[in-house]
Amino acid sequence: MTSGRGYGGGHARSRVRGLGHGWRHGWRVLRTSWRLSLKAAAAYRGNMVIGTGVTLIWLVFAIAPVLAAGRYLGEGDGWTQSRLLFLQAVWYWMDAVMWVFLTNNVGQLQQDVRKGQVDWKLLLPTDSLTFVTLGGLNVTDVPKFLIALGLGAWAVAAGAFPGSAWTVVLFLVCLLAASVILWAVGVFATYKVLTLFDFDGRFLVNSVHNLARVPVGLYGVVLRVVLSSVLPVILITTVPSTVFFGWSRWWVTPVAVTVAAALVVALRVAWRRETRQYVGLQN
Amino acid sequence: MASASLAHTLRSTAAWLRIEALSIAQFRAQVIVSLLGWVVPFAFMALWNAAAAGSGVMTPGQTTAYYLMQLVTTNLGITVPLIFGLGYLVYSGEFATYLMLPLPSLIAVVAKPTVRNLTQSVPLVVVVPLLAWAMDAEFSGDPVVVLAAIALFVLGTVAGLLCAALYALAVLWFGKNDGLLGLFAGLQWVLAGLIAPSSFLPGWMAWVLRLSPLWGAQGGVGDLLSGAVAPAWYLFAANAAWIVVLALVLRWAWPRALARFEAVGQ
Repeated sequence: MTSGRGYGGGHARSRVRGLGHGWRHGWRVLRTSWRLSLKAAAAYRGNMVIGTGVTLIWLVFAIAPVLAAGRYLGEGDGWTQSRLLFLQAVWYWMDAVMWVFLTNNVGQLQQDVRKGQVDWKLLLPTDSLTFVTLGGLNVTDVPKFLIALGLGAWAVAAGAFPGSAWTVVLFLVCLLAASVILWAVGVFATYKVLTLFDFDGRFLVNSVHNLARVPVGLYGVVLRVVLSSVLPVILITTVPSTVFFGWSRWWVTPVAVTVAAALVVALRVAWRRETRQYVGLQN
Repeated sequence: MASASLAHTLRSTAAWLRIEALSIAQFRAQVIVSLLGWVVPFAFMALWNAAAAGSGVMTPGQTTAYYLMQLVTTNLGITVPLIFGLGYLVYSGEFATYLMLPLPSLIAVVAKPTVRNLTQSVPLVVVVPLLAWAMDAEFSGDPVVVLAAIALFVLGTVAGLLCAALYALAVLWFGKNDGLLGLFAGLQWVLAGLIAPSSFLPGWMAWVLRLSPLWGAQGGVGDLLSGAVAPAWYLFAANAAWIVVLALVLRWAWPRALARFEAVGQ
């Protein structure tokens, strides 16, 4: 469509910098976009109530295996029923990240590229990666975050106690890092649609997300190695949970943060390259 | 169209399947890759392998076999695509065209997911035996059990599809609501034994599963082939009874649902 230098990369960004905006401006745009999503969702309040009801029912389906298996697991590797329940709370938080931020934005990106409607988003005077992949808010699933918190509180009350106040702080850091990692994996799995037009790699993020339903330690040796190295599954639910319980070494949290930061940097580079090669197409 | 002969219906169905196969063939690589996105059976396999060790209910080898069968049967399942497919066709108004086809419209709706799932499952022919060998899965080698599992799969598939078709008709009453439509998938996770093999559930719950119309095509196959449940006449009788009852209810509900269809969509 154009030389593409302006698409989300150098030109638009330097223009924003030139205006003295930068990250603060990007955050303001994002906030406005989320407010618009909230207003749009408010028009369908009934739908939201039904959605929350459905979410609660799905919660039962999600934790049922853990509750059932927990009866037989005993103290196996320290993963008692209550600790597995805590891991489910972390998993549910990630589920919220998936459904509130990732699924709708990434799905929208695929549609927009096919219809040639992504151009205006790339031309906005803000960071295009952030706006395109986080701009839309799936409000119906926002209650999932609260449900995850409730589930976590239930697990703690049932005996999944934290190691100390310090491990709770580290847990929050790991949870944030895990959320960023999941988002980055999700975007990595789909950003190629910008040039390939009919590309859908969402199976990757679905796999990472679903494999994180159980502690990585419960998988067989080969899968355990794969999920701890090639795929960042271990960082999604197992690491935040073990950090919370105080089972992890001191370096685990910095590793999680480093992986998250590295993925964001790599994603920004990849996004910039991809948007440079993007050409508008309508069909 | 209702009076079309069975032979004509079969010919039309075969032609429809051929068209869908040609369509899917263009994207076969992408379809096969999507197989990698369904890993839930592996997650639950890990959980239940750990739970099975020393439980005295099933051995880890049996739970491995059970979940490998879940991997196969869930990849072949077309109940959820039927529900969402019909929901979309009604919402978009395209269902009007399907009603004019020279074959039952529900068959036309399931043709695409059937071909897609068969294409997607091709690698499993190699992958599942390899995994079974690598993970020490314990399968029953008794030919009677294998035949019983195949029979239960066929009966369970028909019962499950009828159940899904009835559920899908609800879209003509409450409109397109993906959340409500998707609840069927959650229900199927429980009743088809994906979240837990029936033998691990408390007595009454195990019976609810084994007598439900959704268990035969998924959990039933795994339970029989892993040797956790012995073939018994009531398993087949329950599925046959479900098929008769659900077919009658569908026959009653179908014209009433269609009466609400306005053939206008967006």
